[in-house]
Amino acid sequence: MAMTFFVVASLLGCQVPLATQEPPCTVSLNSSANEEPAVVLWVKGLACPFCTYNVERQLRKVPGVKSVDVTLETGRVTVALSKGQPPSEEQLRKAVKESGFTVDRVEMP
Amino acid sequence: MSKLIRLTTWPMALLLTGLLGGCHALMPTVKPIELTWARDVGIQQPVGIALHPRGGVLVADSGNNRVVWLSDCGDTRAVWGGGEGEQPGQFRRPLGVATGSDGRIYVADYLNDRVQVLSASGAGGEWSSFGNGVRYTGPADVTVDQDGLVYVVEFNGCRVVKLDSSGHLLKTWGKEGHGAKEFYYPTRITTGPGGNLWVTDAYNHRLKVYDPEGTLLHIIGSEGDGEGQFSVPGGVAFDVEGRVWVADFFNNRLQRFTVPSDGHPERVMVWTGLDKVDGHLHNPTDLSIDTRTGELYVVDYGSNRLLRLKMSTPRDQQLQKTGGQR
Repeated sequence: MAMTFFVVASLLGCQVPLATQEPPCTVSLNSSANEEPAVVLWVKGLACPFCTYNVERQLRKVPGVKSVDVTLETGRVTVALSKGQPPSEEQLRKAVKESGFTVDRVEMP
Repeated sequence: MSKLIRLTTWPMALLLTGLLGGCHALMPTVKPIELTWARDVGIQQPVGIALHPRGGVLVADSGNNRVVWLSDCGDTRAVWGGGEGEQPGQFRRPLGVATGSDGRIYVADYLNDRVQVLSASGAGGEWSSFGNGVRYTGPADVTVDQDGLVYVVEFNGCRVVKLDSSGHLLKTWGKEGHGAKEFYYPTRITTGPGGNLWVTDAYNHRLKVYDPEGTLLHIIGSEGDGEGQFSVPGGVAFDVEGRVWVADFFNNRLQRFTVPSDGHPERVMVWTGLDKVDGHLHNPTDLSIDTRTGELYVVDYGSNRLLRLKMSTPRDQQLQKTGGQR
């Protein structure tokens, strides 16, 4: 009886809950970013959207920077890099300084 | 003894009722129609808001690099942009939005260093850069006065740029600094009563009022959390009585006050939201007021939400009958 039910459910495309079924995978929304080289900067004192976008503005001017993602709450700034010559840590720190903030630490790839 | 109780009970009841009524009159006059409004439109890091002349509001949805037109019901009527870009109709961190009486929509397109305008004419309208030969430096907000003149405030340029309706540069004023004629990363600009310009000099923690020619009229506020003080103030709006409402970003509140001729805020009211965790304001950046209905639309940036609020005192309700749209 149980086997019959299983076969019918499978044919109908139903997901049969099995004790061994794995939980659905969590797909990272930033999976494409994870495939690109990226530097993480930790910036102190980011406080408002204008501040964060100003940091983004200054970093985007640095050659080799492809995109910038800023998390206001944590001060985490993820800098995706273009292929080729990556920017130096000094260049990135300088760009952040020009926006009025200071880099606390850097995580290079 | 029972007679004594009866003699004192009613007077005490009346006294308490009077006290409660008086307390109610002192309570905030803002009552939320719907605390969180337009819940399902998927906004991310909203910053600026403006009334649409055909109803509803326009929101600068900076996190999504788009501008959204929402109806009074909070439904999405139109979306422009989405996905950053530099082509007409694309945006990179749109921070401010405004409309002209002719129906045109202006957007301060911050990272693209430009102001874009959507023409009201044409089948679908077209986006184009606004400002002939003007080099903007971090445009953060824009406003249009009743004569169609356009004013842009630059966050990085620390100045105001005035243009005619065709985009010709008329004048600029301001520079970086902390003096009376200077700005320190201004973020908002609004056309106020009489056509005066209200500039939010955010990191000087003050508001500055200019006439249309750029003559400074008032400097309002100072840094702090007291009444009439600000901590990185945001947008400014005016109700039907001409009272000023300010989104006080870091103080997580709205302030309302009147401004007499000397420029000093009076009759200050502070509103932080409801006494629930979900109801408390969290870094509001901008607001607009529909003076026909008395409704306030607030961008609560820190909570990533839009609020729709309504003034509820009998006096406000009376005034709403004779109000007009901002």
